[in-house]
Amino acid sequence: MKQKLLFVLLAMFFAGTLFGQTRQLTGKVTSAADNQPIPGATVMIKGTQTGVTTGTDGKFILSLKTPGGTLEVSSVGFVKLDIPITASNNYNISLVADVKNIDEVVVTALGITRAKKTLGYAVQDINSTELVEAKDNNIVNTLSGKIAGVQVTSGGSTVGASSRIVIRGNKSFAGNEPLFVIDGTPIFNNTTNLDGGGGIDWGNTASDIDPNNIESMTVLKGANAAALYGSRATNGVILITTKKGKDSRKLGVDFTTSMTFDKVAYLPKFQNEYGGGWNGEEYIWKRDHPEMTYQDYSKTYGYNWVDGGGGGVNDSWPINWGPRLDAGLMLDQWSTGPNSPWISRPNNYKDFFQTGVNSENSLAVSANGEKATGRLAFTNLNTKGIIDYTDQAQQTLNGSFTLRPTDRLTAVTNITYLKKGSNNIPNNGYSGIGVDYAWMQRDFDVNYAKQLFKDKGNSGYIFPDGDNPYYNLRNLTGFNRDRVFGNSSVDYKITNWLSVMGRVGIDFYNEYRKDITQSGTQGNISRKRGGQFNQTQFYFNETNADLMLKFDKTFGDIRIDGLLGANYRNVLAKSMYMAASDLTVPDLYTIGNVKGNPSVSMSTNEKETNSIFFAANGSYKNFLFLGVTARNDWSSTLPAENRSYFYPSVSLGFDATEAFKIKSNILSYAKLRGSWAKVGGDASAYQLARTYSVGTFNSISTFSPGLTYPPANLKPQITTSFEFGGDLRFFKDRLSLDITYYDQTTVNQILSVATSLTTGYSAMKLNAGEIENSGLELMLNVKAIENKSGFSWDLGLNWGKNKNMVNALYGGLESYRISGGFGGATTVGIPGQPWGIIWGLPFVRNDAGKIVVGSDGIPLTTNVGKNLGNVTPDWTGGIRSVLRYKNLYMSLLLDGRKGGKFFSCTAWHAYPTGTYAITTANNVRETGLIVDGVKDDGVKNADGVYVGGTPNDIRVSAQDYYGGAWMWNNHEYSILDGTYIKLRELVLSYDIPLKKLPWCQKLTISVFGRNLAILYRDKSTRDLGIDPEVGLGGGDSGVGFENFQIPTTRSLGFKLALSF
Amino acid sequence: MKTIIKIQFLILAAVLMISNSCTKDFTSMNTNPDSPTVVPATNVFLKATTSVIGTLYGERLDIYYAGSYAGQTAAIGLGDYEYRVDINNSMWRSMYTAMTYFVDAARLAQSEGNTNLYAAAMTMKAFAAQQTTDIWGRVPYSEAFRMSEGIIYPKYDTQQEIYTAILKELKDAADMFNNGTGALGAGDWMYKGNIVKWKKFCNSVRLRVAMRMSNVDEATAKSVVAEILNNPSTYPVITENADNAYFWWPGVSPDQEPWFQRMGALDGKKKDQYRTNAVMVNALKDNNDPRLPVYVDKNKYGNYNGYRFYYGQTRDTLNNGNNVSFIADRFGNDPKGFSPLLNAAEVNFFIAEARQRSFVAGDAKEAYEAGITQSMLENSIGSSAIAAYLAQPEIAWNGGTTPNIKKIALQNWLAIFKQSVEAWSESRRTDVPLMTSVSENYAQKHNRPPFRMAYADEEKSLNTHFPVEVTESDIFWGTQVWWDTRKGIQ
Repeated sequence: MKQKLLFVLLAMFFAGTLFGQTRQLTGKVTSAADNQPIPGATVMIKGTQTGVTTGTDGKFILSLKTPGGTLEVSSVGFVKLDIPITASNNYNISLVADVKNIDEVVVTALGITRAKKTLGYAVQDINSTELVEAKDNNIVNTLSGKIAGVQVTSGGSTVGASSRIVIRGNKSFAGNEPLFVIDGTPIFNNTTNLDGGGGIDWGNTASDIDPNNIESMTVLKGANAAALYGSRATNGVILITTKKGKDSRKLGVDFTTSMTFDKVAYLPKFQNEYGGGWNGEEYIWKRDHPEMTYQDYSKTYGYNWVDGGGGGVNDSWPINWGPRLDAGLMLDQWSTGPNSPWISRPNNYKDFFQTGVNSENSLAVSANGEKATGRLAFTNLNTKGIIDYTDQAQQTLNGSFTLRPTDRLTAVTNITYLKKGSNNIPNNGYSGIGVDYAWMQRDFDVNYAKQLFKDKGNSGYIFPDGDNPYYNLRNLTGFNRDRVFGNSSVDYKITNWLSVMGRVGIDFYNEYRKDITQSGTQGNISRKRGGQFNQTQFYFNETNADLMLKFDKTFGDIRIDGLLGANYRNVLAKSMYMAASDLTVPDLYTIGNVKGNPSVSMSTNEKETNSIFFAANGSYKNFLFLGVTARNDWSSTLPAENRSYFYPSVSLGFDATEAFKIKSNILSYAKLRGSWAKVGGDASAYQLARTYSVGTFNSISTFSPGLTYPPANLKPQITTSFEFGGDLRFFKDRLSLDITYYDQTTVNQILSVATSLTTGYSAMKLNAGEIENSGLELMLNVKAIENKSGFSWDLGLNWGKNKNMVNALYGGLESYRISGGFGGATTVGIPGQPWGIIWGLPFVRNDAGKIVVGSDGIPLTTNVGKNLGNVTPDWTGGIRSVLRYKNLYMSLLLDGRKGGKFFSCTAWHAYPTGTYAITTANNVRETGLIVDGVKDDGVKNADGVYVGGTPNDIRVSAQDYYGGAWMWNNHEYSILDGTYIKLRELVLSYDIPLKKLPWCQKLTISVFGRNLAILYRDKSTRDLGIDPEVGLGGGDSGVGFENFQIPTTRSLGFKLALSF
Repeated sequence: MKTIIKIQFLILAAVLMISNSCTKDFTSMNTNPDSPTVVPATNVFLKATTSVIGTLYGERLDIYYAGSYAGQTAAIGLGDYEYRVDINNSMWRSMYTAMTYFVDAARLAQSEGNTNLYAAAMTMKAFAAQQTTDIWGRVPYSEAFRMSEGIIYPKYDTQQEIYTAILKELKDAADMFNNGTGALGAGDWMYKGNIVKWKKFCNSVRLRVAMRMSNVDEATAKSVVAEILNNPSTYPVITENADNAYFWWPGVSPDQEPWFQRMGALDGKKKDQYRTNAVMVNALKDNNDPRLPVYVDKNKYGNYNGYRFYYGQTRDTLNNGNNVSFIADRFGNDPKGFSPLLNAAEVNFFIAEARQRSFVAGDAKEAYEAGITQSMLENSIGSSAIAAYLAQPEIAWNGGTTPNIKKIALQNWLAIFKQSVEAWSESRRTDVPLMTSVSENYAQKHNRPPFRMAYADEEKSLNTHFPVEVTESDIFWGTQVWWDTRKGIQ
């Protein structure tokens, strides 16, 4: 590897010896409005074919062979300017914005800056203000609702939770995350892939990026835009450009400080009418023992606490089928003692949570000189979670340095070092606090539990074999991560149209995770164990080295620019795990203290790709733009014969207003674009042979043969896509509309296709399957009001609809399992259906679709699963409104999603636990209910389907229906709809006038809110009080599952930003 | 122009370097440094053994499921025959995974030239196969474990075909042990390399298979039983507890006995929902069985009381947590406890039955009493207590009103506590003890516990050969398995 790096560097310096000799004009093109450099501006010698474009710093070098003449300087969005050539060799040129045609410049693949109008594919960019104004600790969350066709799903409200981002739908059964690229170098976004059961959400490592250092972010949505990045870009690319310290100030200091408060806002709808116990509902009392008073009945049959272990009446099982609360009953209870009032405690869940606090301080220093520019920034972020004893902290040091020792040579280094850690992250899902409360009596006294923990630790809890939740929180699960990412590049201008660039980038981190269980849990006391712990060390390293030759030349009306390059990439991941299931000295969590045998394991994973690539863009008369890319990869993960694969792309853009010289007050700009691309992808490492996994039993090694059948002739997977669209602007750009249609098909997916274990294997690794995504994206921007008094109102809408289809799987395979899900509900891919079918047990229904009940009046159950809905939403979108008046600024963001089903484990438990409001609705506990269905008359057709049936008239108690065992064999009633509209962000800021503080350039104070309201959600989620957005983890396995979500929060923040 | 040529040269050099020199170490790079491709057979054998034991004698199948169906244990609370798609899938997967491992261990043993280890692996595979088909009925076997031959949808064999195959495999293994070479190595945790004990286990499993099918294919059963029992030097069986096929756990964390892992209470405060079943507690109480306190704890009020399955069970206060007895320490509260694959008592009862049904000559009474005695001794019951027990009319051979054949069945069922799948199978074969009352949700439609476990849901979509003619009604019922000859039950 060292040799290869050396080669890249050597080649760079060889290239440095090649340069020509003529009179050199140098200069810099800046924007008159803000003195910012204008990259990509054209500087021509008028009347000749000679010209150059400016670099990212706005500078240019132009060879002049004839004396005199005029420089013609132009750039998209600016008024063209002519400047006579004098004796001076240096020209500083300032361009005035052309209000009629304001066009942005965007960063495209490999960090190349281009005018947006020249692109033949859709990109969408987002500026730093939009990312930081309503800050979230996870940068992925701040994209929600801002980019058409992008679906962001927050992993929840635990500290450091991951977020899932998918661009243009799910394309694969093996990961759908986009690639994150910072300043041209890819970084890891390792994401916690929780399944439907939940667990610890360690976050996604893209959240390490400090938004304070981001200058801009560009989303390359399709394979077309991203083809140059190869396989990893199949799911789109998020390009991040960091701040470089380039501005007009000689010395710049920026300081921001903010505090954000998270308050639990969206709580489950628990009932507060009936408390713990069994057989306590009024209907059962009146049915079985009408001769008794409700007081006597309740104490005899409903609930009475003696020891929490069955010594009393129904006191050993945390379930809410007990007597009515607040009805004057006096029962023996855990927290209040014998014959104490049986009362509701409606806030016992809410009171478990505290206000989460995030405090952030960020300081940046920048300097801008002739030969050097730099910026150094430090951010300190501390988070206290909404659950007691949970936290997270991150310190980020970011530096960016640009050296320009000569006009030809530019060297840039961007580097970020960060420390991130948590002392404790709470459990999510089926082992988290949510399930503790679903399986908890509604009369539970949380404040008593808290006090008890303070006084007596883990003893005396309501159930003697249960652990006090406050004690559980001291079973810590924490991590520490040290990470460095960045790159260094050297760019040398060989001639005025040719330059060479070498760049080496790394992303490297080391992480320790530790999970401890104290000796005082009831399980450990029973088994006399001194506690447990496990520790995992992760090491990740990705190295990228690029060498690129860049050219840009104009021939008359035709301008051609592009690059030819090579990339070397190595990814190495290692881990080590050690665990003790018992400890000699209690609560001493070090491996030498293990009692018995430690469990240990280690793993290594390394892969490498080498690539060459080519990209060229030609423009004709500034209205026709053609782009071509080609790339060939060699991957270490594929068999030798398939190791090399090639893929091209082509795009075309056409500016009709420029071409036909349309000058209209109605149509101010019209561009059409279309593109086609193919992208190849490789496998993960070590897939080609069957190997044994290593374990131990009583210090004897055990080997288990791998259960994945190795592939015979694995080929790269191929994604083919096309898109076309248009950018139309009207009324002097007051209204702009951007539409894109795309279609993307992935074939030869490298999959582990599940097989029947009776074959001796659980899966075959092979090329299988075809998934197609097509969709429509809309972006509409309206400058609704633009007033000379300084009042303006901008509205932006984005909307994306993605249609997804699994076209084929493998052979006769009827389904592909995406996730093992939870409780028997899984997600699968089925040919002819969209990605992500929820598969589970349905109601038994007759031929007319009516639920069939048994002779006991309770729904029948089946063990034959069925398609219960699809996880893919119909559309996603957002609306952003920005109001400005002089120094005042207000922005508001609504975002939403239509459809997308999910299996809710909360709903699944809402029935049997009797904890939720739906189990008391319509007075069912006073009157009982008759299930809407037909009776099992035993009449079935040839397919075994019930036919007809007499209408059900059997009245059952709420407990028999909702609390019956039947619902564990039914997933259908727990399928909920993911529709929502949220008030995502609201920002109010004020720039304080600074006439009296000349040393200070800008002082802004702002107030912001996030997730302020769920404006709309489906009845199915509203009835249960579930936030329909929240997913589990950030991977594919949690998609389509909700599992006792920790209540999501409403955040309110205050921020002060100072620049001088 | 010169410039361009130089640059072209450089790029060409770069391309050549990348495409040739840089890919030559790709093959070694793509070899997993932590996972070998060839390993010693004995260490695979150990993994396979712990896998099958973890499933068959793990708490879920052994206590909650088969234990409930067998009338020996129960999960109080809902007191149901839990059906869960995911767990059902995982049971199926576990059994086939364990058999896959044994097939691989046998393959490796063969390449090592170790015929003893090969025979041990085949014995264990056949043992697991019988348990698997007894749980589900028709399952893939003859075409199973053969993906390398291109079989991705193995066909479902009838249970009779599977039994025939198992009998042959066990006979081959027994013959191989008789002429075997090679040590079993560190992976033989159960018998610590004792080939004679393995030989006895192999023959005992074969005897068990033959007796299980004896009501539907008596001729085959009879010839197999005769071959084994008439040739004790060639085909010795387990008749003494010292030879029991028991997997004794090291007891050192994390390798502790699975029931203990679930409900261990070294502080004496048991609190799990897994308890004893009234059918077993009553059978022990009926005959003043000295094993009662070894199997069952007294409840909070000083009585022995098992959980009762019937319509209305959840409203029965005798079924609440304070009233239902826990499983006693020998079985459920010992980190160094055992997982029983087969014991001497059971073999003695098979011999007794074979003699009683004249499959072979010999004194049935002697074998019957030997079976009881072995079971008592195993549970540390003294000789006077054994004698007293044997003297009771309904226990004594030819005593009381119970036919001898039913006494054998009951005693066998009592002696194999903790072998729940086996106990469930025997109760399905013999209808002893008679269990007419079943879990609440099914009590109104069924008069016997489950006939079989539901097939894995995933198998229906993953195997195109899934037999469509299999009838599954109310999840656990429908078709009775092949050797289940009970009539008029539902």
